[in-house]
Amino acid sequence: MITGQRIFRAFTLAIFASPSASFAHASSFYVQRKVESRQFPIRSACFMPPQAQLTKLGMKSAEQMVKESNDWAAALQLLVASHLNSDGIAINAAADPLSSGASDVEIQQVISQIQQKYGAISPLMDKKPGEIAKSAYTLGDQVAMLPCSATSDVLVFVTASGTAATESREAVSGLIGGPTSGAIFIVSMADAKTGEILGLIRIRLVGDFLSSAQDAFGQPLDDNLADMNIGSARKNAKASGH
Amino acid sequence: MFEPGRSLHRLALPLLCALLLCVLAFSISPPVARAQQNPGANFQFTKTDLSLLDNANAMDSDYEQKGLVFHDPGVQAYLDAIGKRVFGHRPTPEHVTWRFMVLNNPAVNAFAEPNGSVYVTIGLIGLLQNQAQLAAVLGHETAHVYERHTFLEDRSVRKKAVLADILAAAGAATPGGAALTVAGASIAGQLILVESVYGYSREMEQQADSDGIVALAAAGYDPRAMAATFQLLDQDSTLEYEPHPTFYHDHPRFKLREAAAATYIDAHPGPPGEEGSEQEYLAAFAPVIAFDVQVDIEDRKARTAVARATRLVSAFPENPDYELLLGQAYRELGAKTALPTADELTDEGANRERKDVLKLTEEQEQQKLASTPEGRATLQQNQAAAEKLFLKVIQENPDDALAYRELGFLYEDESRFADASANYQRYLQLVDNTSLDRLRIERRLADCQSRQSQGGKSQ
Repeated sequence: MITGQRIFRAFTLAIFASPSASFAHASSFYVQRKVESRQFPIRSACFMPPQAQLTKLGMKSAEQMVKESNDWAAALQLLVASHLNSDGIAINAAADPLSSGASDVEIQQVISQIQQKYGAISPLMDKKPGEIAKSAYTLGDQVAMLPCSATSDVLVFVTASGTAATESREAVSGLIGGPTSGAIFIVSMADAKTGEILGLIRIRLVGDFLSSAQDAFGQPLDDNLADMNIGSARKNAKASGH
Repeated sequence: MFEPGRSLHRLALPLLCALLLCVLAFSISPPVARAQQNPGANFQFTKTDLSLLDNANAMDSDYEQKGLVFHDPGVQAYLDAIGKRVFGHRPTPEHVTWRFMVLNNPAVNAFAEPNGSVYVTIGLIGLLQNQAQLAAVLGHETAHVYERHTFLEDRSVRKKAVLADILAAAGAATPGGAALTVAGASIAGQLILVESVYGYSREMEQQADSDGIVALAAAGYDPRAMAATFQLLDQDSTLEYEPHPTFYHDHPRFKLREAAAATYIDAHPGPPGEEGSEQEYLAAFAPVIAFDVQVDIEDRKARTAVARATRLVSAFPENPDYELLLGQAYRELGAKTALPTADELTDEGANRERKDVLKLTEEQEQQKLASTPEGRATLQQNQAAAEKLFLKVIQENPDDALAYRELGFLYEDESRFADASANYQRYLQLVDNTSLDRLRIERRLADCQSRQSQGGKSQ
């Protein structure tokens, strides 16, 4: 009887949960005091190439979705850029040579070195994000080698990892438990002159995150940016309850 | 007249003998027979297999687009020649196009995708010593492709996933069965192409080892290179803690694989093969190894950087670029010894090292090391070694801008701000205005000058 009730409850949940585009969010942010107190105002941002990994989870196996991962990464970067831009923050791309006269190959080498360094400190930041407030993490001043560094206050790193479960997988997981669609989206910012990590936003989401990056991550991103005191218009809007 | 019973009885003995001979023949040299044929020739592709191939092709494009493939015409020609020699005249399996590539990744690893793309990382190239050892790696990796291991592993995982779901369903319907559900999910969550990067099942790896040895010998290389490669990998795995160990960095398995390779070679003696000199290997791959040193420095692997740069300096003592690299690596080493200490080689010491890498930033780790007298002495030794190399480069070429910059960094570390400023100024005089580093050094110069006025030391 108890088993029967369980199956009925799980089945009902699966029916109601699967077609909807509802999300369950959990987000957190870590920021240095000088950003929060606006001693370090952010007026311009340079975006590093985004990195995202998407996995399709079916009934029998999981597959990496290489092309979709790149599209998703681009969509997430666009989302962050548009949110910052809407608040008056100028946007640059790290790969842009601007007026430096540097070749694409030279810039690509610098980008690779910075990404390597970011990759080396990422596990530590993931484990102890609170240390960001104590200026514990830095990419080194080689970030200043990027042409965009001269005209930007921060470098922005957009990374994400997501699992997109197929409909049948979702239904089975709804019934008997197991993995469902979900993603982790991380935005971090480093001082474009010194390489010091200034802030990090981490958003975890359960639900369909692929239909629209804005619908999935827009609101928590906005909330966290406002709480970090990045973007005056956003903070003011939040304070006045809009 | 046909008498079935009698006929069978009469045929039984010869049939039994033939069967025994077959078994004996296969037990003497099963890999030779398999590897010289085309084991995947009659492989029947399913729709899922073809989709796996599409994904492998997409992965290739992705690596290329993200600039992860190392491009150098000389390096590529050398690698292609060894690869071609390893697969020799064997027919290329269906849906396979052999491509050999160097991947810009400092991890010691190599992997093959089911479409025939074989990647060797800059980390592994920096470790190997000769052509035969690289051929051993390629022999092993191409064997995975010939044997269709990716597809077979994929099918096996899919079967397990169905079983896992059945178990999960049973678990959900049973009080306290949640653990089974988790187990099922973890099996289903395996990624096949990722597995090709991190290693297959033990049986498949053993088969690829023995097939690789056969391919190595057939290509005229010394088959003992396979065992020598495992020995080298084993030694390297103790040099530095690796947070993301790949199959090629799996310490406990090396001893077994080395022994298995040696046993196999002893059982199948043949004419001695070619090994290739270390000098020739280093000459071909010097650009890759130099790049690996730079990446190792960024990746917090200063010991590896010192080891690789030392090889380049020893092989090409007249090249100032490699002396500069070695100097950078020594500077990066800071208060750390170039080789693991006796304490670090113990289980307890290795555990401490692991914790430090996982819990401390590079700067915090250096501070911890430099807080002991031994650490401070090591720091001084490493800084002296770096300074000696930079000064030597300047002595040989007084216009070597990078040597002044590196010397500036070193003196800044040592709080010798006046000396650092002088070297930064010289660097800025020598580099042109479009240098990407100009702004960064100008800032450092201003900072050093400001500190100098506050009372920094000079020598």
